[in-house]
Amino acid sequence: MIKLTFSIVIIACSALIGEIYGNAYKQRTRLLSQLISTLQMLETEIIYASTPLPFLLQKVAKRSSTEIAYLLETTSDILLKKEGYTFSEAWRMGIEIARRQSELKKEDIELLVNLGNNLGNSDGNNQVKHIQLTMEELRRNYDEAIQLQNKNVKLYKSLGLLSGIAIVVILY
Amino acid sequence: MQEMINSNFIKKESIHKVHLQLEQYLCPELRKVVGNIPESFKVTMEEIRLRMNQPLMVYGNNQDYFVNTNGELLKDREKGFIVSGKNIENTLQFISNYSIYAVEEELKRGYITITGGHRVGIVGKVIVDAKGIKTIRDFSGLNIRVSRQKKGVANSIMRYLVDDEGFIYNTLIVSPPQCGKTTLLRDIIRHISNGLPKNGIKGMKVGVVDERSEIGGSFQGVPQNDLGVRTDLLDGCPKADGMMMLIRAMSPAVIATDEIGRQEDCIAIEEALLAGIRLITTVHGKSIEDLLNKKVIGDLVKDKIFKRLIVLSNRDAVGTIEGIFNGETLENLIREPIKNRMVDSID
Repeated sequence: MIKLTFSIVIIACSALIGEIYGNAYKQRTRLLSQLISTLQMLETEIIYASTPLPFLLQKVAKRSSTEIAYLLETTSDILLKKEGYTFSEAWRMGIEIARRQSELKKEDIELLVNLGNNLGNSDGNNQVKHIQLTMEELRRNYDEAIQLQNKNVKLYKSLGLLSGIAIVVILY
Repeated sequence: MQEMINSNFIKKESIHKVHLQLEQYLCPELRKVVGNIPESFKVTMEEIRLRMNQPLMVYGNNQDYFVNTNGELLKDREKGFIVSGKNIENTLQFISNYSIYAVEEELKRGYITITGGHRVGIVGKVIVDAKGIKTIRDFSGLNIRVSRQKKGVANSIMRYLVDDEGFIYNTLIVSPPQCGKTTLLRDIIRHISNGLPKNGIKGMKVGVVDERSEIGGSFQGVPQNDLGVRTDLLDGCPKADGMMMLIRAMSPAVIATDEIGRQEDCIAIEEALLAGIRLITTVHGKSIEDLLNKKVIGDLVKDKIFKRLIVLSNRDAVGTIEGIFNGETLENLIREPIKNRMVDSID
């Protein structure tokens, strides 16, 4: 009886680990697609409302998902304190804090950092170009992430389950 | 007595706040340098000038100085703190609230007004297209003009500007640049708007056309200077159009505007006079003789439209009133120049 319970627990655990690994891929695609729509909002606000960035970020944060909102709000908080950080510095600090909790990869983060170097320091038309360029590249990353997701989520799931079964078999 | 102490306290604090407010807009490096400038100079500081690869300069007390890293004021340019392109770029970030795109319209005019009504003039590479100036980029210099509302500078002259029935005379302020004509105009507006019973002025509706955002120092549409309770301000509006708008819509008793002189202003002035509106305005010039040679404004003076002409100069101190002339007889109403009107009165 105990044996059976242990076996079930082991299998369940390893299946769960597989699930978690697989989920990381799902998370990334979800974040990327949300980032793209956030940038879309930024673009619209810049063209039609010319809202200055600290307020703009707050506004957009309210309509974004938690992780992205966190990045936007942290940055805007730093800016509003007026301690002398430039936008790109504040943005980078925001990213450093926000990335810990996200599944974004290094190449995604780099795109964001790059955007931060250009946000705010040119006229409207130019801003739109920068944002669109970043969106374009994020889309490319998104496509790649989708492929990875399709390939790996199943793989990790079955890997988790099978290794659980393997452990049980070996033990007994 | 208690009140005196209180008002003193408020005054000092507000003067202090002006620098803090301004220093926030400088990049950290410059913030430190400017922060080190002696307090006694900061109180009278009028301009901070950043020019790329040139020493940092400040202007005040009718003189300019170079500033070194320790905030000492020098006459020797070799020792000044050299402003880099990065300094200018970063400072501009803070001034534009990190968003150049949000101040595009202001950039086209060459200056940005910030909280507190301070104005930042900008030079750099100007981009032009068929419609005119498109934008400025590759910024090479900034001029931060400190705006200090000097309440009370008009106290001593208000009685010359009002007739026996309490109407305001059409008044023209004549002054060379940087002699405080906008400051004086602002205080006159405030007095007329709030009313000054001891001089027989009851509060009147004042319409202000502030083409260059200097009178009200509007930041995002909100005037940063106190222009009185009965004042309607059109910010950034061309003078002639603005005067017409005010006449039609706001029924002012007095219209005030800065630096009149173009042909189309003349038509608007006539329209205003027809509607029985009194006019207060300013013009660049050294003396009345100087004015008579100018085209539009000279004719207005010859036609005796203005009943009072106030002439300012920079003699001894900023904003010395050389004379207040009766526009009809050109007789000076004050016996000697009024100096040092710098009183921070409470009302």
